[in-house]
Amino acid sequence: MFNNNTVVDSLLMVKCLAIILVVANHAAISTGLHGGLNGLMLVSGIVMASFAFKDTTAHTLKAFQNFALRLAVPSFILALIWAVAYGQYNWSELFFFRNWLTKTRLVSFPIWYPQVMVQMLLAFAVLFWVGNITPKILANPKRVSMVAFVLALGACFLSYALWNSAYLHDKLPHLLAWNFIFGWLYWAFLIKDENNDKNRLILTVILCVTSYLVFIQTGAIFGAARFMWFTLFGLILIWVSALKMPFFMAHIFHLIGQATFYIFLWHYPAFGITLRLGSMFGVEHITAQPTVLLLSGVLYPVLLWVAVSALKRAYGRAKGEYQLAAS
Amino acid sequence: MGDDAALIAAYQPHYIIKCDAENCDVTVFNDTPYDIAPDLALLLSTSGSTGSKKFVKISAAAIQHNTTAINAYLENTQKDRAITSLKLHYSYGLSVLNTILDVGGSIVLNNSGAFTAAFWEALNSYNVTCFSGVPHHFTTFEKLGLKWADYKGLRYVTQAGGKLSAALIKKQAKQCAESDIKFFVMYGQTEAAPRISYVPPTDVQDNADCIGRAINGGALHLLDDAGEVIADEGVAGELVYTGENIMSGYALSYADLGMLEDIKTLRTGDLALRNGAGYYKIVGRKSRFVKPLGVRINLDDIERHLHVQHNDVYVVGNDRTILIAHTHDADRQIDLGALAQKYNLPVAFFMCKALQSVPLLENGKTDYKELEKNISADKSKLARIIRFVKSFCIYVFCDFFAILCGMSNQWDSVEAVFKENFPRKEITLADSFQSLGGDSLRYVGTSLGLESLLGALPQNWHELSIAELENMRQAAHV
Repeated sequence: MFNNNTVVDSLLMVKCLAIILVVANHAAISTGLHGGLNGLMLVSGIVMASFAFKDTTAHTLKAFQNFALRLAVPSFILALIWAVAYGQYNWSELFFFRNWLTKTRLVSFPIWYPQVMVQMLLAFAVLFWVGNITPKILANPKRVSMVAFVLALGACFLSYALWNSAYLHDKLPHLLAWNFIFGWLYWAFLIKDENNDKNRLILTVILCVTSYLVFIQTGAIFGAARFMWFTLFGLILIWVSALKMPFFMAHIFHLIGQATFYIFLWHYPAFGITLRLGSMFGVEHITAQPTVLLLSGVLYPVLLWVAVSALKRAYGRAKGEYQLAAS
Repeated sequence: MGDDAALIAAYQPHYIIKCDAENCDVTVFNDTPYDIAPDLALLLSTSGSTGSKKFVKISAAAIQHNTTAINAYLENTQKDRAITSLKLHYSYGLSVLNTILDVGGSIVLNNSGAFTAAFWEALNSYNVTCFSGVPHHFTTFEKLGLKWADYKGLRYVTQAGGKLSAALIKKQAKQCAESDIKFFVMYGQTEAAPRISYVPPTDVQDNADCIGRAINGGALHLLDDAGEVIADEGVAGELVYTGENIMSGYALSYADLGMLEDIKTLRTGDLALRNGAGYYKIVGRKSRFVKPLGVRINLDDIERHLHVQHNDVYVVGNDRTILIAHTHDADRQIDLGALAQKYNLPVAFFMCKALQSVPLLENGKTDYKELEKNISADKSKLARIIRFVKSFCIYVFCDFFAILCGMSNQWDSVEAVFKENFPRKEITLADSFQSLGGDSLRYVGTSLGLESLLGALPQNWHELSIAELENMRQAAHV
């Protein structure tokens, strides 16, 4: 149970592994790497349930709104910059509904994820408002989360039965909501209730069975990979509370965990920079290697995040001094 | 090495022993005898030391008084057996050794930390009856799911060395009680050799946020700003301890070792209040420490350093500026460059100001609060802009590498962590991560920031207010 190393929370670990999987997939390291963003949805679901389900429905709605804005505003600004830079204005992309029309995108990051999350949060907001759900889920976390999970699964199966959305790569909120809501189940069983073997086993069974049914049985696109990764991430979260590792390695997780959204937004431009540098210095054969692209796709955005964080922190501190001196 | 050289120069030791993993090298450094008070038993560095040569002088009598008082409430007997969970050069760790040996008990010496399996195996296999931990131990145990019921031989557990959250104290105490293990919350300072107060296990649940009552032979009271004793309940003042276990003064060099002061009253520097049950609760710290760029600086140290050459020099400051106020003639300049070099800070952090006179309190002491108002005396707009740009560039450079390398001390307060992670929010001390609408994009940064200040976080950290978290941080620093 004990050793002398730094402890890394499994939630942080899964968040890091999921974003690395996204970049690895886009760097074409190998096939079968889809599922990173499903993992991030699961993490978001757990965190959202832990922090947003409090007191009243109004508090939850505020949390939904904050999270949606935190995802949507930077995505919108980048999409706008991209549109201005290339003179291509796509209103469905700028206003977050392009995922319903096509699997293609103009911007240089997988904008479908913020689109799906914003749409999903909007739908949840309406449901929570109409049903005044927060007091109910707080009063009976397991039952209400389970009902929400079953409804989300129902919507998913119904959609697969009636509509082959493979041409949209299944990037639709009602097909992915169960990933997010599984996080609520995790919260209800392992955070609100006792984190014991019985609850872990129940969650494991729910995870494995639903994951298999949705990803494999329905013929979902990239289903095998999503099944494998989503189930793995879920199992790590359920069975491993924290992992101990040397400080150096833990700090890498800390940096990636904090820079996750930067990595998500900037890994494609990072690939571009690496490839351009390769052609400038005549080493394309090295910089075009998927492993090099993966490293750059993680490293550059992390450095960018560190730089922005340092600037923000320094500005705040220097501003404090300025205000003090002027007072 | 620089610190070692300064230490050697100050204390002129007779022998210097340097050890590596296998060998020890003993050098005779000084064979001139000097005077050491016969009852001086121990020199301990204070936890708030900034690398200075300052040691607490503790007499054998003080240690004996404290040891007897601790044994009275812990009810140690020769059947008890402790285990080294804390360093012996730490006053708390040493008091565990002293108390257990004083009653003829035994102690298991081990080199494994309390977060290793070997430690807990030893605890069980040697039938250890008492465990002593600091807040970091208990927050980490909570995270790792340690169950006291697994350690049947334990008779009691003690917690001291900083403030543990009331919620976690209750939880740990409850878990201990279920296994018939007593859970003591204790408070002390190195200057008191070290124990000052404790909360009896039977009262912990109702007074989990308290440091308890004075140990046998000691007494606690509170003083207001005017130095008057506070008689009312619930009114905060400086916590003052009286007892036979108080240190015999500080030593700054070997010349101080020959004499022991007779001190019976210790001003702890902690702000506390007394509740209806007569138990004391720490609510803050009367501090003369600042932390520019994360470097912990004792303003009194700077003042003492400057007093070598200048008499009327007074130092005040905050985390952004250290002001040296003086009443010198203009031709007696203070060398800010040398000062900056000594304290490893950019010279931009220091400013000098000549005053007509020094503001004094009614009791004749320097009014540092009044002096602090002079920090804003830099009136020139251009100078302010230059200071801003200078500081900004220094901060960016330092912060970039601090974040990249995972250096601790990146923040100076819990509020700073929240301000950085919620930049556009109006933050009050009553806010929590949850009330501010924290989400998955913010939780990693906030939790890691708090971890760097507090150590392992309690399970419900997101529900705790900034004030509660700040209390935990300050307690950890004490």
